[in-house]
Amino acid sequence: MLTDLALVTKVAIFRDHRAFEELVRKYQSPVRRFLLNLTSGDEALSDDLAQDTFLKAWQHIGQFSGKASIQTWLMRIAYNNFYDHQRRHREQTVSIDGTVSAAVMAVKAGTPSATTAMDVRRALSILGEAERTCITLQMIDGLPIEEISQITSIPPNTVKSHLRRGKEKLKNFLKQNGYDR
Amino acid sequence: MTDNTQQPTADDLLLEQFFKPCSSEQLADDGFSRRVMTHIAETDARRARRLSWQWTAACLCVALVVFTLTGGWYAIVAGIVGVLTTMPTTTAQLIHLMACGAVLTTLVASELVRREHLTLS
Repeated sequence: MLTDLALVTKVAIFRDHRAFEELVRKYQSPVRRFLLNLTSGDEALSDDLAQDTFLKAWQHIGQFSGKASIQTWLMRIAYNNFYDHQRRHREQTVSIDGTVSAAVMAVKAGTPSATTAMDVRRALSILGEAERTCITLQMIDGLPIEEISQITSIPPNTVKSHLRRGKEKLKNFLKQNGYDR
Repeated sequence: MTDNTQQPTADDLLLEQFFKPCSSEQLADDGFSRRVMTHIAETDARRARRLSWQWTAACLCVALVVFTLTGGWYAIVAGIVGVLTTMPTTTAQLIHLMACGAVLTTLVASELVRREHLTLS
C-alpha cells in the first residue's frame, strides 16, 4: 500500500485515476461524516458537498504542499465548500432559540445508532456555526487545535474560545436533558 | 479529547462519552467512490473536448492568417475568374457543372448532419 504522499504524487504528475480512487476510498468516511455533522444530518446535501470536495481536490491536487496531512487538506476543502453553500443558499437550519427545523433532521429512524446520531445532532444544533465546526472536528474527528485552525482558517486562540464556549453549552444541554444520569 | 494537560473533569468525560459512538462511526462507501470517479472521468472528457475545439479554432485562425499573408485569396479569385472566362456554353456542359455542384453540396451537408448527430449523442 502506497503512502498518501506517494499517491498524491502519482495523481499530481501522472493524473493516475487509480491512485486518486484509493485516496477517495480512504478518506470518504471522515469527509462525509464531517459534512454530515455540519449539515445537521442532511445525507443528500453532505454527499453532494463531499463529491464536490473530491472533485476540487482532483482539479487542484498540484496545490497540495504537503505541509499538512492530506486529510487536513481535504477537510479544509470540505469546510470551504460547506461555507460557500451556506452563503449561496442562506438556509436557516437553526432558528434563533436553537431548535432545529424538522426538514434537516434526515436521520434514518429505528436503530440505536440512528437515535445516538439524532441526539448528537440535536445537541450540536444549539451551537453557533463556528462552535459546531470546532466541536465536531475535536470531539468527533479527534483533531488537535492546530489542525482545526488550519482547516477553518480561524486563529488557534479563537478556536480555543469556540471550544470552551461550545463545551459549556453542551454540558448544560446534556445535564438539562438527563444525559448525566 | 481535552485540549489541556489538566485532568479531565466529570463534565469533560460526560462529553467524551456522549460523542464516543460518533467518533468511531465509519460511513460505508455504498458506491460513493465510484460515483466520484465517474464524475471525474466525465469532467475530464468534457475538458478534453473543449480543449480540442479550442485547439482546432486556434489552428484555423493561424491558417487563415498565413493563407491571407501568402496571397491565397488572390489565387482563389484568379481561379474563379479563369473558370468564368472559360465557362461552358453548351447545355450539356452546364448540366454537368450543376450536377457536380449538387453532389458536392450533398456531401458537405451529409457530413455536417453526421457531425451534429455525433455531438448530440
